[in-house]
Amino acid sequence: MLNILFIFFYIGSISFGGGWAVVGLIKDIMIGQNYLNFPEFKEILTAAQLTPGPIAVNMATYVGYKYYGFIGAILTTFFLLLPPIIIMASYLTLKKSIKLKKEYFINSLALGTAVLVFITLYSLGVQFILNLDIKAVILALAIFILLVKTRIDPIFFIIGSGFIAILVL
Amino acid sequence: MISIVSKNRELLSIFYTFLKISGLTIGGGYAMVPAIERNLINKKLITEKEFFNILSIAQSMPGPIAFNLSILLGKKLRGFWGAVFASFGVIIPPFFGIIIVASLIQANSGSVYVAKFLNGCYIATVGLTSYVLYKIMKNINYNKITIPLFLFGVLFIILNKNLTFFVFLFLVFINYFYEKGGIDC
Repeated sequence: MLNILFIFFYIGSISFGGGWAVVGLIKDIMIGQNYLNFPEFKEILTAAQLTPGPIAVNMATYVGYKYYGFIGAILTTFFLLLPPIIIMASYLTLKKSIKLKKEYFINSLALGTAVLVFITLYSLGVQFILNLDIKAVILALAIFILLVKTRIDPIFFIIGSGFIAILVL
Repeated sequence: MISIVSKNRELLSIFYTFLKISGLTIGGGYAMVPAIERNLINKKLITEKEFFNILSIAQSMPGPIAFNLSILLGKKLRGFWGAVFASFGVIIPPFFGIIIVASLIQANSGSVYVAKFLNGCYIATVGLTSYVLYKIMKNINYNKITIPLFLFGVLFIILNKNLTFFVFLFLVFINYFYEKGGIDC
């Protein structure tokens, strides 16, 4: 239990720039330490996208619930959110003495976040390349291009892709 | 007495506003930002300038962006308890939503169709992650060391995942001081 709380505390402290930066990390840690297997990870990832809320919160809640029930769900969610709570509380108290050049700092965080999101992409997608799963690569690329070119809500692509997979893959 | 009642009512209204936005916006934190923006600015609770100032602070901290926003905006609107009520509003819908949906999926996880459906959703997630990466990289201001730092970071983390946190801090630190032009404060 302590180990799993520590994991989510760690994930919470690095989750800059939205949940996608840490999805790869969650996958590697959860599967690496045998908390989840790959099909379970897929289930949670999909459930997280079909429900409201930040993806990292969804995953923390679910893993806590799976292992330690309702109380576990509250605890893992709380530990994921503890680092931002601590940092925001310190920010709100120390506001006046912090002298960061905001635009440089945000740009540097964006660079760090880009690296983490790339790691997430690598962790989620590398298997399709290694297995030469051409259909999956084409589907993912098509969704990427549609997301860039149109303003359709991503939820439709996720559900649509699920149905395409039933019919074609 | 009356002031206590009206104060409680304001807190409940903050709670309800964030609960509603969080519960009705599917697709993660970034989808919620414009919803929160429109809602609070339309109600004249906050000006556009204040909102974007707070948004840039929320982005520079770890944690889900919608959660950070709810704390900072709640604090700004009604102090400490405003932050507490707003953040609970944001967290409650995903908390129960995931438990319900994940249980439904698990109850049917023996089915071949469900497995295929999940696989399709997973592939869509790969496309979505590429899109998120594209958006972030498009908005970075590039300098001479940005690309080398990016490649260095990716390589190091792929080689040793345990170093993720330190590599991240290292990249942010180096790029920040490079752009600022030195360590002298």
